[in-house]
Amino acid sequence: MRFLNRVNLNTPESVELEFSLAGIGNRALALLIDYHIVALSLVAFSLLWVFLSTRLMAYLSQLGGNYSALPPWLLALFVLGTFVIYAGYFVGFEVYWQGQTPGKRVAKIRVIRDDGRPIGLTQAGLRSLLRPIDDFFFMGALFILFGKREKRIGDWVAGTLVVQENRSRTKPAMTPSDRAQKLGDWLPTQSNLENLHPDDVAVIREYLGRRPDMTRKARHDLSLQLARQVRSRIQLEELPAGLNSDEFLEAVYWAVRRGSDGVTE
Amino acid sequence: MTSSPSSGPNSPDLTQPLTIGNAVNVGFRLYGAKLKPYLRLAAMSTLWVLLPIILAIALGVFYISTQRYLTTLGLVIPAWIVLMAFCSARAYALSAAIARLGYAELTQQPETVDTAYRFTRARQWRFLVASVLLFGLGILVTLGFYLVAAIVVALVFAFVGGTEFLLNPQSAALVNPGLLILAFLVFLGVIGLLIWVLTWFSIRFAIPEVPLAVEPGLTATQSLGRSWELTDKNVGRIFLILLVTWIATIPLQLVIQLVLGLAQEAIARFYPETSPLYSVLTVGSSFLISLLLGIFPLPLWQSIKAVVYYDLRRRREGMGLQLSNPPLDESEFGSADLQDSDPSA
Repeated sequence: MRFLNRVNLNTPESVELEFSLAGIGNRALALLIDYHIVALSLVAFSLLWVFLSTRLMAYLSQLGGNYSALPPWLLALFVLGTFVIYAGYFVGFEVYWQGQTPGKRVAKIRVIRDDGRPIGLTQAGLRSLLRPIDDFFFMGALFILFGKREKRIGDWVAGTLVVQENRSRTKPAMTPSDRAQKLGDWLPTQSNLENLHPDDVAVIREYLGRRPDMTRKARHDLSLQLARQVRSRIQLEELPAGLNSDEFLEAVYWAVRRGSDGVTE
Repeated sequence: MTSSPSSGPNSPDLTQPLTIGNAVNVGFRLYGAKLKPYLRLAAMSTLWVLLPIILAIALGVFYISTQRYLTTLGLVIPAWIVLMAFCSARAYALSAAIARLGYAELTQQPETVDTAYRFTRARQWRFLVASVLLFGLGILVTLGFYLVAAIVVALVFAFVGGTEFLLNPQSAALVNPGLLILAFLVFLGVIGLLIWVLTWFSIRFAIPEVPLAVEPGLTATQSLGRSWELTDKNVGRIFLILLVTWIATIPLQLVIQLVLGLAQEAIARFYPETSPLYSVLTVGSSFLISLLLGIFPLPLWQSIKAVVYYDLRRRREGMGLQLSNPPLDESEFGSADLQDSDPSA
C-alpha cells in the first residue's frame, strides 16, 4: 500500500520532478498554526485600534470643532486592517518565502505551481482570495480529502499544488569518544570495512542518530545485536578489551565516513 | 503530469519516523484504503455495545408494564451484568482487530480480517480488564488531583484572609483586592493544571489496546505498562497528532450533526413537543443515532492509534533498524566479548 500520494511534474525545461503531496494531516497542522498566528495578530490589531481611536477622539474633542464624520472612517480603517492581516499574511509569506507560511514551514510543506516552479503574487493572491470559500463548511478540506491531487478550490484556480519538502536525514551528532576515534583509525587495518553495504552504514547512522530517544532496554538490545552483526560482516577477529557496543558502532561509522571523505592516510 | 507509485528523491519514506502531519496522513490513508472491512468491524463492535442496552430497555418496559415477577430481578440483574461484560469484551476485541489490521498493513505483513479478529477475540477479556483498570486509574488520578488542588486552594484562601472573612463578613472591605485577584489567578491555574494533568495521563495511556492486539503473550496490566513506556517523551507529538486528526474530521462531524438535526426535526413533526413521548423519543433517538454514526469515525481513530504505536515502536525501540542481510555465520564472531553499552552514559 502507498501511504502518501505522489505526483510527477514536468518542468518547462522538461525535467521530471517527483513530489509527495502534503496530505490532509500536514495541511491541517499548517493551518492550525497559521490561523493561531492570524488570530493573535487580529486581537493585537483590535486592541491597538481601540486604544488609538479613543485617544484620537479624546484629543480632538479637546480641540473643539465637529469631528462626527470621523468614526465611520476609523471603522473603515479597522475593516481594511483586518482584511490586510487576514489576506496579507498568506500572500506576503507565500510570495517572500517561496510558497511557505510559518505553519507550512513547521509542517515542512510548500506551495508550488503545477509545473514545479515557485509561486508568484498572482498564485498566492488567488489562493488567499478563495480561502474564505474553501473555509466555508470546510469545502476545501473535502476537496483535499477526496481529490487525487489534493487541490482545494484556491489551488484549482491558481494552478498550484502543495507538496512536502525534502526531509534531511537524521545525522548523528558525531563527536565519537576518544576510544571510538582511536578504534576507528585502527579498524581499516584489521577488518574489511568495504564489506559493509551502504544500506548497512545507513542503518548504523540511523541508530546512532536516534538512540537518545530510545528506551533503555531497546537501545541495549539493538546496540548489541547491530554490533555483533557488523562485526561479523566486516570480519573483525580481535577486539580491544572492554569495548562496548555503542563505541564499536561509533568507531565503525567514524571509520567508514572518514574513508568515504577520502581523508584516510 | 501523472501520479506515480515509485519512490523518488522528494518522497519521505516510511523508514524514517513519521512527522505529525504524515502520521495523520497515513492514518487517513489506512482508513480510506480499507474502508469496507474496517466499517464492518466497527459496525459489529457497535452492535455488541447496543445489545445489552436494548435488552435493558426491553426488560425495563416489561417490568414496568406488567408490575409482576419483580422477585426475578435478583437473578436478571446479575445475569445482565455478566452479559454486558461479555458484550463489552466482544466490542473491544472487534475494534482492536481494526488496529491490528492497520498495524499489519504498516509493517507490510497484511492479514485477513478473520485472522486478526480471531487473535483479538481470543484475548477479549484482557481488553475488558485493561479498560476497567484504565477507568479505575482515571478515577484515582482525578481524585488525587482534586485532593491536592483542594489543599492548595484552602491554603491560598487562608493566606488571603478568608478565615477572617468567614468569621466576620464585615471585614471584606479590608481585604486587599490584589490578593483577591491573585486568588482568582491561582484558581484559574488549578483548572488549567487539571486539564493538562488529565490530558497528559490520557495520552500516556492512549494506546494499550494496540500492543495487546499485536504483541503475543501480553497481559492487560502489561499492556498499560507498554503504553506508558512507549509514549514517554512523546506526549506533545501524540497530542498534536490527535488534535490535527480531530480538526481534519470536522467536515465529517458536521455531516453527523446534520443527520442528528434532521432526525430530531422528523420526530418533532410526528410527535408535537407537548406529547409525553417527545422527550423520550428525542433523547433515545439522538443517543441511538449518535452511537450508530460513531461507526464511521471509530476505524479512523483505531487506524491513527495503530500508526502512533507503529511510529513509537520505531522511535522508541528502533524497530526496523537491521542490516540488510543478517550474516549466517554470526556465531563465529558473535562471542560475548562485546560489552553492553550503558544507555545512560
